[in-house]
Amino acid sequence: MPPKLLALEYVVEDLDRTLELLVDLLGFEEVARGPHPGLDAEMVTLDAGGVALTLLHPTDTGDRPAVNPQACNLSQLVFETDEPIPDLAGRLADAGAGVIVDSPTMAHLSAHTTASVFGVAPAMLFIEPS
Amino acid sequence: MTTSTPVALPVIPALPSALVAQWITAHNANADALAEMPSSLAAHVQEWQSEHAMEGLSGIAASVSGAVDLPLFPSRRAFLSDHDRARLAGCRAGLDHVEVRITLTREHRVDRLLEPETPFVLHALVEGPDTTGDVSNPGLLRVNDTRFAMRQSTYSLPDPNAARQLLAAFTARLAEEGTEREGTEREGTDLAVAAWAIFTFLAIHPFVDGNGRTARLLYLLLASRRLRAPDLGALEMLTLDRQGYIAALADAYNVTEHWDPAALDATAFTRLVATWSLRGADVYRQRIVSAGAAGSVADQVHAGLTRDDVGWIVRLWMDGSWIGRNGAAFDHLADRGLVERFPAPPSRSIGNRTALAYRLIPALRDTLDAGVIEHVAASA
Repeated sequence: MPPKLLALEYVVEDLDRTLELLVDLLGFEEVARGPHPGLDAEMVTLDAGGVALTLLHPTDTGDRPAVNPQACNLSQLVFETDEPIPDLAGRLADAGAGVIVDSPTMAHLSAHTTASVFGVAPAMLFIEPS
Repeated sequence: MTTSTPVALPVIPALPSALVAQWITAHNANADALAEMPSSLAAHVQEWQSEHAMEGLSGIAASVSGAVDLPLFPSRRAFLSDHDRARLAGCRAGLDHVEVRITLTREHRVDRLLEPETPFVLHALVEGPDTTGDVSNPGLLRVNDTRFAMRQSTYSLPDPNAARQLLAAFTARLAEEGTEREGTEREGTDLAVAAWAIFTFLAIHPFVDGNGRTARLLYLLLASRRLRAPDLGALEMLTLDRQGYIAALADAYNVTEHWDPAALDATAFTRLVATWSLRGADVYRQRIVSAGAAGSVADQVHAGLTRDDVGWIVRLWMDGSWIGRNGAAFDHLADRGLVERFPAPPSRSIGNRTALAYRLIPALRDTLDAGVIEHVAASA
């Protein structure tokens, strides 16, 4: 059996916006929040359906090593959703996110939107279970 | 003494006169419908349309697109980066310049819509707010060879010296169009000239970046002669069909590997622009009708509203929510129980993360939604 992915950690540019997108709009549960134990960063951990998604937002307290500015290279996040894609797309669009509906069962966020959250533009893809 | 050979440009295609008449009628019918509205409401509808078109012009993806039914009033985009905001600000500044230029021309305070410096000014405005972080030299012609970003293009852009000459010929040609047409057989060619301007300007590609935004602002300017308001609907539809827009240009350019005015045929692209413009005018008409109906419903169900109140209620109905300026207007409506305050979400906040936002109470929103549906069904 291959290793099981337990956690992803991602450095975000705007923590508030990230939480609006992932918690308020997509419904992931926030399970922990606080200063990162080893890095100069605020840390929030979300339960992303069995995978821990940890968000780091660099702070400037100076009491711990700074986050490596080259740390974030994630290029794609793929989410499976039971919510019908048109409904999910409509909900995200109502909140002002840029949503491109690729097909009745697949949509993705515009690069502008993900860049405004993460600072770079990973693809965020939503698919219905086949 | 030397003489220079005139620089040849692609031919400005002809459009069927019936199509041009349909185009003028469609847009000016919208202007008439707006003129019949209370001015406080019409101003909100026009501003909404303008802001929506600028989101498209700036290249920020719409709130929703693709294989889905598009809402008549898509939500205003949130989750914008500083880069996105800079692009929006640049496009708004460019539109302001276009609108002032149109007004000055109508009032005969300037001779023509376009002067030789106009492309430079528009480019400086759209690129001025440092939209990429890279050097793009706002208002300055490119000094290096460049290539189309579109992958499917095999057409090589003119070198910088040729591009400089071609741009001068381009603006001279448009100035000629602007002065010789009144009362002549060329009357009514504004749409073809404006669409041709996009086509030809992009084939020249005189600037490092921002050519597309500059070209589309030139379209608004040049298409305005017989329209009572800029053709923002064309920009919206062109943005929605961006793939079609790029493909149409690529198809037309790819017939030649280098600048060849005899081979560069703007006919198909011009017809496509006409289609987008008519579609945009129709969507705008639907928005005007719906906003008018929403205003009537608000007026009927809540006695004592001023016209300004109705305008702001319809604005909230179109926008979904409102953040920032003019909070006083909404505080007054909140005191009447028609509007509710809520903390502005981070995605819509700029700087002040404790800003208040406003939205209609759900009961009023539902009433307006139902009333508009009823009105539209009855008028159909």
